Amino acid sequence: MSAAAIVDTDPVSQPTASVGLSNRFAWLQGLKSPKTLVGLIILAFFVLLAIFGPIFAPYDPSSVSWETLQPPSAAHWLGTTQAGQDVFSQMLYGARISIIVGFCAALLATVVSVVVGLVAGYLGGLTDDLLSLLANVFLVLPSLPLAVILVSLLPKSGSAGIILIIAITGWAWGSRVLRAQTMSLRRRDFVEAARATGERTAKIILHDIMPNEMAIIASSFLGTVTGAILTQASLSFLGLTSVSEWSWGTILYWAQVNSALLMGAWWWFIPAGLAIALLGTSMSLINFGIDEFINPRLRQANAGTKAQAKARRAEAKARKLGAVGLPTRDKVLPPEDHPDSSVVLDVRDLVFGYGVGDDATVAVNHVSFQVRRGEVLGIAGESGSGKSTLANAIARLYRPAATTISGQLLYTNAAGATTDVLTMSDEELRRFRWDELSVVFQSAMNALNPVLTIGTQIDDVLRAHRADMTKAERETKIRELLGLVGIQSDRVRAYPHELSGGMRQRAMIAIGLALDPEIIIMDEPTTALDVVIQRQIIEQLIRLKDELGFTIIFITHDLSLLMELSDTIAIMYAGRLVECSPTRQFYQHPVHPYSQGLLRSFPTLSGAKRELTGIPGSPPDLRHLPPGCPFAPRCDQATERCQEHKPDLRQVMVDNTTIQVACHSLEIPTQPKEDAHVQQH
Amino acid sequence: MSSNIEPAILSAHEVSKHFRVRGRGFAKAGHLHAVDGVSLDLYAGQITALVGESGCGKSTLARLLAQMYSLTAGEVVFQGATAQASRASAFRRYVADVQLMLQDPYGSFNPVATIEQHLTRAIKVHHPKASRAEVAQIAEDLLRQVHLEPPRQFLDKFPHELSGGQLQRCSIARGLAANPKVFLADEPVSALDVSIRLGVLNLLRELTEVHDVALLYVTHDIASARYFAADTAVMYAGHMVEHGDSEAVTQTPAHPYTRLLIDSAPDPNRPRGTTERTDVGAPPSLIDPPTGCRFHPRCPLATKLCSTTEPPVAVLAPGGQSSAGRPHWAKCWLYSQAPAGFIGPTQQTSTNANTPHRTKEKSDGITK
Repeated sequence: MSAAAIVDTDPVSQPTASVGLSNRFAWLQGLKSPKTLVGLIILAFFVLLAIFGPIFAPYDPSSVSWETLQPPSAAHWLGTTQAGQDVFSQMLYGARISIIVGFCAALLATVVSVVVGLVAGYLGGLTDDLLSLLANVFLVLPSLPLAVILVSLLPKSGSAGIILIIAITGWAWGSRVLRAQTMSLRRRDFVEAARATGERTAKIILHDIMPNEMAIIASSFLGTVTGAILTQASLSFLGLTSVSEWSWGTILYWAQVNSALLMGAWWWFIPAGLAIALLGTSMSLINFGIDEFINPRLRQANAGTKAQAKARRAEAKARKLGAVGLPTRDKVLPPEDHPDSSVVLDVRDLVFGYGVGDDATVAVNHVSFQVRRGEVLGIAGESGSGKSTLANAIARLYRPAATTISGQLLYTNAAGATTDVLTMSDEELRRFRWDELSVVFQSAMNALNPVLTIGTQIDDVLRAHRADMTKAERETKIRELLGLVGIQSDRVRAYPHELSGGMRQRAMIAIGLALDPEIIIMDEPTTALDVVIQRQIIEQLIRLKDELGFTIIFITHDLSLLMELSDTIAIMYAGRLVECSPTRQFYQHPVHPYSQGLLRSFPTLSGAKRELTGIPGSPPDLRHLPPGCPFAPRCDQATERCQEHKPDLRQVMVDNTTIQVACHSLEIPTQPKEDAHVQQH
Repeated sequence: MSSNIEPAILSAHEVSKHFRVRGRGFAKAGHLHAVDGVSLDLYAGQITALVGESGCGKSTLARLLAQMYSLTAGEVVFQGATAQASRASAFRRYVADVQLMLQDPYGSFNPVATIEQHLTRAIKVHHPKASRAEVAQIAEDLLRQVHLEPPRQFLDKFPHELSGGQLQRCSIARGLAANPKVFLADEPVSALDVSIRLGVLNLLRELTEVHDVALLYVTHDIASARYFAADTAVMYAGHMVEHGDSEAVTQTPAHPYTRLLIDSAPDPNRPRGTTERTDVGAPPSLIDPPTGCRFHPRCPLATKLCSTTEPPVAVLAPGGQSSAGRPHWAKCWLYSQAPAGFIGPTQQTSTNANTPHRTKEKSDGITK
């Protein structure tokens, strides 16, 4: 379920109905990058020069005159050589050869490296061994000396020969990169899916592998162009090409032969050197934008980032000035404001959003709930419902992209002092996390540091937060913690990759428990695990909770797991809390139509088979929410009012139990449950 | 539903797949016994669920049936003939009839190609003579069949612009392009949200019924097998341990592993705290699998016999109505007579160091 989770934590990747430009021309957005644009303009200038230059050249580049070694003047824009030749004309003619050689050699080298890299990477086995050997041989040979040797072996050193030699010496590196990329793409599902449709190997390479490597191919091509122009110049400079054929390299050759540097004739060599450097720069600039050209996903994602960054900066500034968002209030509230000290966390009207303008997404929308000491609160919702954002918001672990934050997060510690987590300073926050609240994430492999042992990682947490503990005390504590979660203490020195998925998740829980926190937030902690291991971990967790008395906020999409595990269930939909009630009550009488739909969606193992009807449609795009209840488009009980007005979360009595629900249907007298009555709160 | 006499359309007969594992560092090289001597029959118009934990070989078995992997031993029989798809052209003919559908809807689409390009390619493989207009027509029809309407709106989209459920429907549409007789769906809904899953499963069921397709539903969610499949087969560590009518397998599980799997699955009907159990360990390494019944190191009921000899098929109940007459069986010594020469199924028996009956299938140790 990792894919689902990825979507959940990354609101930008929500499926969208509309893309700015039509897909066919969307790649043009790559031009929006100023770097790419500048690079392309420089390149276009040189290409035009190569095509039309000789037509406009004022002189024949080879014709000698008496005006020797003249500095730049109106007659000779770039001065003259020792033989009285016009440097400007030489530059114009030279552009043609330099660019042709550069591009043709790069094209040839890229074609060879693509063919070799893709074939070797895709087919593998003996083909791969042989082709890789060949590439490696070329890689270890220094390319310029090799080129020099090859040139001297050529019978005729025309441009065609030079192109061939540059291509021969330049393909190997690209092929290595492409081979590695192909080998990882080969294992991707879409390649297997294409194979499963019976597609031919050649077509798979052409249609599935190559388009995904276009960015690398293009950037390797651009790099090779620069390299080829340089190599050509070097070879010419060394006098290894036909010196009567004008290229930027031959200009440099003649300048060097005639000691232009010694005579201070800077105009003779600087233009050629500058032209080569400029062309190389343009290639690098184009390279910056190449990803946006090729990856359809980046084209879209990139659009908002700049505006977002700007808004973030503005907001940070405003906050510094105390103008935005968080109302100033006393941090520690008097106890009488909070008569019920059994409430450990009181979330009041929490709002949490990303992005600005069209991309603005409110991931957590006016959410309020309370968690009691020692209870298990289960938060369930689909991908994109905001449940993971809520978890991150409570721990204040949100990424910098968060742009709107408001509401209160009142935390009451064991001594009865209440603090608003949202107004904590960085130092208070550091103490609050781990000491009072810890978070266990879904992917233990990503959350654990792969190069440190499990013991060291727990030790790090202890050292950072319990400076007064001695080494021996810490060691005892580590063993005790591992014992608690059911890891044998001889695994202290194990690295994460040496543990199974279940063991890693236990290690994560051990780290979460290290400082005896009051609250543990678990964000899909068992989703990646098999049911048998999941069951073992959940049982262990409940045992620990009963022993140590902490509070668990358990977030998952697996409603059936929550029903078994939690005391209270909160259902989120499109960033809102739609229902929050005691688990048993929820299972027997779900009130919100979405809750009812969820319960009709999953199959049960025991008892009689129920009719499964599911929920029609799919969750809304958070960026384009309907004006009324976000569930209204999928709701079979929706009325006109639901389409227009968002229902508030209210307390309602159902079966003598107080629950919270956000639905208009409960205010209509003809609602299904006759014993429910509304109590305005 | 199919009648008793109808033969299986696609069968695996005692198939095995061993992967070569390269030794790394001091770890020795060996063979990963992903699937060992497994048989399974699929019938037209019927859904068969294949259930097990990750690494039990269920996905490998689906790929063996799809001829994506070569067999180490055994044979795959399609419509009465041994399927031999080692050559590319034969494989193409084979996949026209037997389509594999993958788990991850996001991963199984090429991120740089539109849905139309994906469908067009699949259509061209199987309808090479179709004109451009015909291909476009077929693509729209396919999307209509999987209830993505209006089709035009979806054809232009890139994979990342669609939701998981919509992509999985596109994946089904791509599979339908070949007009297959068998659909092998590897965890088709595991990556989807609960409220979306049901729609995709119902679509698969509808296609099974409308096109009389045989469907293998590979899943780790045994509860969904109960609702969705006529038959359920349970795999553990490369072996098939139980098979039968889905209702029978889930309500009266016979093999201790099936019971563990069902006890572990979340079930809101079960009150909290009723399943207190000790640590039951993890599945074994398949490079050096346990002898006898592969579940014996974790089994609370294991005897000496279980650790030495693989149990035979024990038929527990004759076929019921819904499974078209196929019996409910389990491979467990609880339900079989100990072979002659073995003294008692009790744990105390310490005689019999080398039993003369077939010890773990050394015979099919042929490897690729």
